[in-house]
Amino acid sequence: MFALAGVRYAYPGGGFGLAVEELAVARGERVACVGPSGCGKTTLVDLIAGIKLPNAGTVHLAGDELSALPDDARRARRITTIGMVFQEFELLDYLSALDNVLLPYHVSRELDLTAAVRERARTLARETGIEHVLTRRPRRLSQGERQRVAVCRALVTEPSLLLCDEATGNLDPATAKTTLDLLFEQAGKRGTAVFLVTHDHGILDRFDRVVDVRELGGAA
Amino acid sequence: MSGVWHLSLRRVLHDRTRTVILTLCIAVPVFLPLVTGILVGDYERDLVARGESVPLLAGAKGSRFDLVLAALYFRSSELDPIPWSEFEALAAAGEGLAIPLNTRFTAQGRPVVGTSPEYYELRGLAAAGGTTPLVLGDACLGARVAEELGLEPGDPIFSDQRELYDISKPPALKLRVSGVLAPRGTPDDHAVFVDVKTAWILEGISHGHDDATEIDDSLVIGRSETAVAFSGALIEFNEVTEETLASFHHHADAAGLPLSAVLFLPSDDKAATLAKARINASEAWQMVAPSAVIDDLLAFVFRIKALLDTFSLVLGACTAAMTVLVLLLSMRIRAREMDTLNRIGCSRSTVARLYATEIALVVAFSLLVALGAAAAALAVVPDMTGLFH
Repeated sequence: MFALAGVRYAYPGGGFGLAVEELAVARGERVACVGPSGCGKTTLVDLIAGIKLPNAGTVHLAGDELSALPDDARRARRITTIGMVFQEFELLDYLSALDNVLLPYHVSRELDLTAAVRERARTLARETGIEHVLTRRPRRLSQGERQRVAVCRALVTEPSLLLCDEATGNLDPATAKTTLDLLFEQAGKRGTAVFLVTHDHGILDRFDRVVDVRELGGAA
Repeated sequence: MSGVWHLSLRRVLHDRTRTVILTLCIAVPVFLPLVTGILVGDYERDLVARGESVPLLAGAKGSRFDLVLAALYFRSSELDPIPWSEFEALAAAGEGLAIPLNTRFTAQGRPVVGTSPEYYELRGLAAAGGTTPLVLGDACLGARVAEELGLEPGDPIFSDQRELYDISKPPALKLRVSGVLAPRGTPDDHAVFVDVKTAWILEGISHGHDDATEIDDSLVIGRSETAVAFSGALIEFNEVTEETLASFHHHADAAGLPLSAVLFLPSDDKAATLAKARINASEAWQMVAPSAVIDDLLAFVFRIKALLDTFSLVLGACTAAMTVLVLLLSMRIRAREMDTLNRIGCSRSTVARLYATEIALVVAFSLLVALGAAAAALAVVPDMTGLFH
């Protein structure tokens, strides 16, 4: 699904750097990414998504080398190929839950918001148990409901890859387990690869593979 | 609706307080010059058109503005009257059309205009119901007067008595509404028209009463070869009826009967020059071209408008600066939202379009508010000529 090779990344000013000699995740694979705070987990997610570009090395996503793509094409590839789930959910408070789920379609020219897409969003909402709150704004949702809306947003484009940056970090253990079940269930239906950054070592046994950022090449 | 429009509209409706404040801030600098421009435009058009329809105007010496406003807009004036003899002189010269005007009285708060039939032809006035004044005591109402007072042909309307507690002054005259003029959107809609001789009854110069040779001797308090003095118990008629019409007469010299002004439509430039030279040579009278007076009046108006435009410009600049500041602060507040859009793959152009569409929506709301407020303001002040009353 994606592959990093010989990647070097340093923030402007040179205070922090990340090195990844080799990392590849196959379609349908479930990979957990661990490491202490500040070791570069989020930077790694940004490199995989093409949000950041490496100073050296290559990042391939669905066969394309991201550095070779212009910015617009990289963004288009990201919105059509990757579903992202964030720790703080990052829902837009002025949109209903349904509009938040459909957000990628509202802001992308590459994605057409058709009746089929709306139906898919409703189906996802039904399967994740948030169908009854689709008209509500995020502030009127519980933490678990918000996270499920965020998961639905990540899945609605039927992405090949789910990138989850500490997606269960703000949830209590029970809700975190439910969210993970949901992610795996939905990803499993579509053969979607899952790359999940986490501090929660209690869930690692549910993944096909666990990578420690420090062992990918180590903090530079 | 495209996604960007949908998101922008949701955002604008969500931040209601911000949207309302911005909308009002932008609407006010649009509303002020818009309404001022329209009102001043109407004012100018109305003044110029009414002024140009009367090439020359004769009246007593004094403020030419007062003379023009009294003759064209029936505004009350402190100018002395001009005598009937001046009207006759202008008419007799055969160098144009002279129209007498007496605008010194009111009826139920509306100006009474005593004039001749030529006035209706000059202004293109026609009765929508009934007739223009045919006999003494007839009154033809402007359309707005009839509407506001709820009067129609056959109804009475009383003139306003100038000296309520002085019985030596003429009493209020009961006029008969002979007709109602079709609306013209001019000051004529706000006036009551009578024959000029009826105006002289209001002046107290003409009057009617029982035949002095047939009345009770007890009302006669003195006789001489030339005059008979009557008791105050002899009450003058306060209404012109078919029975009393013949008794109305005046004792004064006809040449001195008062007019407020004489409208003069010269036959050519030479006639105009001659008439102006003759009248202006007099120490007591003046003849002015209303259009020139109105140009001077408009110069004042435009000076005020220029000042208001300057204020609006400054206000607009301040609003623009504040709007930019609000938008910049808004961008900071929304940095996290934009970061989310960036991370899920939204293009830079889409983010720019989101901001632009939000601004466009607020500006559109502002224009709607400004246009709505302007329409409401113009509905409240539909007729600039009303400001003269």
